[in-house]
Amino acid sequence: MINRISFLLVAFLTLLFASAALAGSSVELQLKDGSKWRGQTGTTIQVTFMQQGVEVTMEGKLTKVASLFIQVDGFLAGKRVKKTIFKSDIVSIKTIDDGGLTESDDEPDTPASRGPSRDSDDEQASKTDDDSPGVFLLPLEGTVGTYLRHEEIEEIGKHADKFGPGQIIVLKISSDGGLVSEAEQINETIFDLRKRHRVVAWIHKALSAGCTTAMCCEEIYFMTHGVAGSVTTIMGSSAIQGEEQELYIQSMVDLADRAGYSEHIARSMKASRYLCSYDKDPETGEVTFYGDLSGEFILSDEHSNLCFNSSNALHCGFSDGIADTEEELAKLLQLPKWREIDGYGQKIHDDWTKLVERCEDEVPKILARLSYKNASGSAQQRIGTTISLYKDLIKWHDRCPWPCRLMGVPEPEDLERLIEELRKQLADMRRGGG
Amino acid sequence: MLTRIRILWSLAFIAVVVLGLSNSLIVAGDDDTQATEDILYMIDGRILHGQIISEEDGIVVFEFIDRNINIKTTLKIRKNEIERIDNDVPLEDASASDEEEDEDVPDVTLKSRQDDLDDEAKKSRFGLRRFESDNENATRFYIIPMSGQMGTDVNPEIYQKMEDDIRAADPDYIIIEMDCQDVGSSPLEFLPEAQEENKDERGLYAINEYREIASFFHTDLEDIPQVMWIQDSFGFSSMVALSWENMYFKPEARLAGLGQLNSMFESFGDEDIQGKMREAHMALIRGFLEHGNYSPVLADAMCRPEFALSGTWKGRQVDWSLNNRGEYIVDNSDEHTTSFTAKTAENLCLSKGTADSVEDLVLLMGVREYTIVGEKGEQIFNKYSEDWRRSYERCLDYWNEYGKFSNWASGGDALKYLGQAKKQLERILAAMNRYKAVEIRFNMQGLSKFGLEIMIEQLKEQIRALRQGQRGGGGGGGRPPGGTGSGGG
Repeated sequence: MINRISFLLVAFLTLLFASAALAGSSVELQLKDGSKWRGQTGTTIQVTFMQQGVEVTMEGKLTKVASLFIQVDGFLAGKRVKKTIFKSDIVSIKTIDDGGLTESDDEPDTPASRGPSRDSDDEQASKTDDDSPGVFLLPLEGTVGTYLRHEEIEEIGKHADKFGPGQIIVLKISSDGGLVSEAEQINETIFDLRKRHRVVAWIHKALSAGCTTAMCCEEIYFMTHGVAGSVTTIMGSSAIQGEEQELYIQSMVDLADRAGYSEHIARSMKASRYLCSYDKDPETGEVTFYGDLSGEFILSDEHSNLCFNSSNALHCGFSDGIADTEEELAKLLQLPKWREIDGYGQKIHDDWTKLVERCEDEVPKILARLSYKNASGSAQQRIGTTISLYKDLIKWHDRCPWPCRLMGVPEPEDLERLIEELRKQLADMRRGGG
Repeated sequence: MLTRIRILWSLAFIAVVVLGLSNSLIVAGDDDTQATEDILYMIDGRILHGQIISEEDGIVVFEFIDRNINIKTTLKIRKNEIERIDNDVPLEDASASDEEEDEDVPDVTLKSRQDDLDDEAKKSRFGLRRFESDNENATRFYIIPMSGQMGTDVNPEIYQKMEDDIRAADPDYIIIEMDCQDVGSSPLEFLPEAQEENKDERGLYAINEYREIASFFHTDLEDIPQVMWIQDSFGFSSMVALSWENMYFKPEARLAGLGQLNSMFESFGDEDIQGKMREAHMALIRGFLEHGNYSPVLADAMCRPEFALSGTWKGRQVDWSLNNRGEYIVDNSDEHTTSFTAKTAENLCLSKGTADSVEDLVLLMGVREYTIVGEKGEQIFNKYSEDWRRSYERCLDYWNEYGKFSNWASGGDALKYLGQAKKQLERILAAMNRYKAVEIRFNMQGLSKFGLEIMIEQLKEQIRALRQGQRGGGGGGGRPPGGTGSGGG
C-alpha cells in the first residue's frame, strides 16, 4: 500500500514537474533519495550523477529539463560541455546561483518574479554588446608555406594594432604541417606579435609545423578531437638524421624553452628515440616531465613521436582547456561571450585561400598545356603559345611563390631566360623567313 | 588460454555468488493458496510475478513464481532496477492483468519468440507504443543512417544537408544507425576473387571527412542527445562509431576491422617517419574516442596487432591496459587487432545494451511511448546513395561511349565523333561536380577530375585544329590523346 502511495506520489510529482517544464517556468526534480530539488532552467547548479558506475560532479547552467534527462552547460574535467544527464543517474543537485531566487523560494514563477532577472540579463547583454572585449579570429588552415603563412599573421597583427595593445588574437589551426623555412618565419612573427597582443591557439589539427605554430602562442586550447605534435623533420622520403637532425632538435628545444614547455616534450615530438613521461602532484597539480618512462603518465615511448590529444594535453598542462565552439572558447578566455571585433582575419584567410586554390587548379593545367596547346599550329605559333604560357607561370609565381615551387614551376628568372631564348628563336625564324 | 578460462569461470562464479547467493529453486506446490501477488515492473521491461519477502538497504528479496513451469525462485533485486511495484494484486486480477500486460509490456527475456513475431505482433505484445503521428507526450526519435561505403555514401555533406530537417523535427533523441562493412568482413570475402570483385566498395580512409562528421554531430547538434546503434561495423566506421558515448549494439553486430591501418603505418619509410606518421594518425583516431569518452588505449589495441588488451574492473568502470596483465584479457595475440562483438562490448561496458530492433533500443533507453519523427533524414541519405550510384553507372557508360567515339574519330567524321567523345567526358565531369562520390570512384580507377579536364581541353584543341584545317581546305583526323576508351572506368 505504501509502495502504491509512493508510486502515485512520484507520478503526481512527475506530472507536476512535466507541466512546469512545459510552461517554461520553475522545475522540480524528485531525486532517488526521495528529496526534491526546485529551481529554474537557467539556474547555475552543481549536479552529482553516476557515469559508468562512478560519481561525477559538475557545475553549470541548467539549460533543459526533459522527461528523461536534464542538460547542463558547464565544465566537466576541465572541458566545457553541454552534458545530458539521465534523471535516473542523478545523485544530488545543489543550486549555486539562481539568478536572484533563493533555493527555498518555491513561489510560482510569475512574470513579476522573473522580470528583474530578465531585465538585468538584457541590460547585461546590451552592455556586453557595447563594451565586452572581443577577439580577432584568424583561421590558419592547410599546408604551412602554401596556405598557412606568416604574412597573414603579420597582417592580423597590424590590424589589431589599430585597436591598441592587448588585443586577443585567436589563431584557429588546422594543418598537417609543411615547410620548415616558413615555420621558422611564422614562429618569429608570433613571438613578435605576443609582445603587443594576447595570442591564442585554438587547435583543430596542429601536426608537425602546425604544432610549432601553436606552441609559439601564449595559450593553447584544443577542440575535443584536436591533435598536436609529430614534429619530425623530413627531407624527401626519409627523416633527416645525424648532425642536421641534432640541429633541428636543438632548435625545437629552444622554441619549447622560449614558449615555456619542457624540453622533453620538444625532443619526443622530434625523434622517436626520445622518451617522455610525467608525474602530476595530485594536490598542487604541478607537473614534472622526464626524458624517460619513469613518470606515472607516459606520453611517448621509443617507438613513437609525441602527438597530443585533447585529454592528455590538458592533463599535463600542454593545453589550457578544451573548447569545441566559439562560445566555449570565450568562456575559457574569461570573456563574457564570443564577440569578433570584425571579420578581417576571416577575410584575409579567405582571400589568400581562394588565390592558392585557383593557383593549384590553374598552374598544373598551364604546365600540361605546354605539351599540347597549339600543337597543330606552325612552329612560330607554337613558340608564341609557349611564351604566353611561361608568362602566365611567372604571374602565378609572383602571386603564389611557394605553391608554384611545390608544383615544379621554375623560378621566374629561369622562366624569363627561357622566354628570352624563345624570342631569339622566333626572331631567327622571321629573319630566315620561316 | 587456461588463465582466460579460469578468469571466465571465476567471473561466472562470482556472478552466481553475488546475484544468486540466496536463490533457491522451489517447485511451487499445489498448496500454494496465496490470494494475492506482488508484481515488479523492471526497468529493462521484464514483469516479475511473486511475493515480496523483504525490502531493505535498496534490495528487494522477491519470491518469483513462474506459473508456466510452476517454479518458485528467490531473487535479490536492486531497487534501482525496478521501475514500479504493484503490491497485493488479487491473483485472478493478476492473471487478467497478465494477459493485458502481455499485450502492453515488453518481455526482453523472450528473444527467440520475439524473432518469430512480425511487427504487428510485436506491437501488440510489447508494452511500448509507437505513435504514428506527432504525439506531444511521446518521446521523439530521429533516425539517421550511416551505412554503405565509408567515404562515399557516408560523407559530411549528406549529414549537413539533414540539419534543417532534424531541427524542424525537434527530436528528443537522435539514433545513428551504423551499418558499414569493409571487404574481408566474412571469411569468404577474404578470397582474392571476392576482394577483387568488391574492391570498389571498400571503405575509404577519409579521416578528415570523418572528423567533420563527428564534429557536426557533437558540436552542431550538441543540444540533441544522441545514441549510436551499431548494426555492424567492420572497418573505418568503427573509429567513427567510437565517437558516441552512448553505444548500443545489435545482437550480431561487430565493432572491428581497424587492423587494416597497420599496413599503412608500416609503409611509412624509416623508423622516425613511422614514429611521426603513425602517431599523428593514431592521435587523429584517438580523437574520435575523446568525443566518446573512451580510453585511448582502445584505439591502439584496435588498430595495432602488436598490442594485447586487458581490462581491470574498478567499480563499474574498466581500466584498460595494452598488455595481458589485467583481470580480464580481451586480446592476448600479437597477430591480430582487438575486435568486439555485441556481447563483449556490453560485458566490458563499451555498449550500453544490445537491441535487436528500434523497439528494443528505446526500451533499453527507458522510453515507453515514442514516435519516429522527420523520416526525411533516411530519405535524404538513401536518395543520395542511390542517385550517385546510378550516376556513376551512367558515367561508366559515358566512358565506354567516349572510347567508342574516339576510335571512330578519323577521316571525314573525325570532327563529329571528337565532338561526341568530348560530350561524354563533359557529362562525366558534370557528374563529378554534382556528386563527390562519383569523383572519388573515378579517382579510385585512376581518372582524376584534373585529368578529365585536361582530356576535355585536349579534345577542344583537336577540334579547333580540325576546324581551322577545314577552313583552310585541309582535313585530317586524329585521335584524342589520353585514353583508348576501353571502358570500365
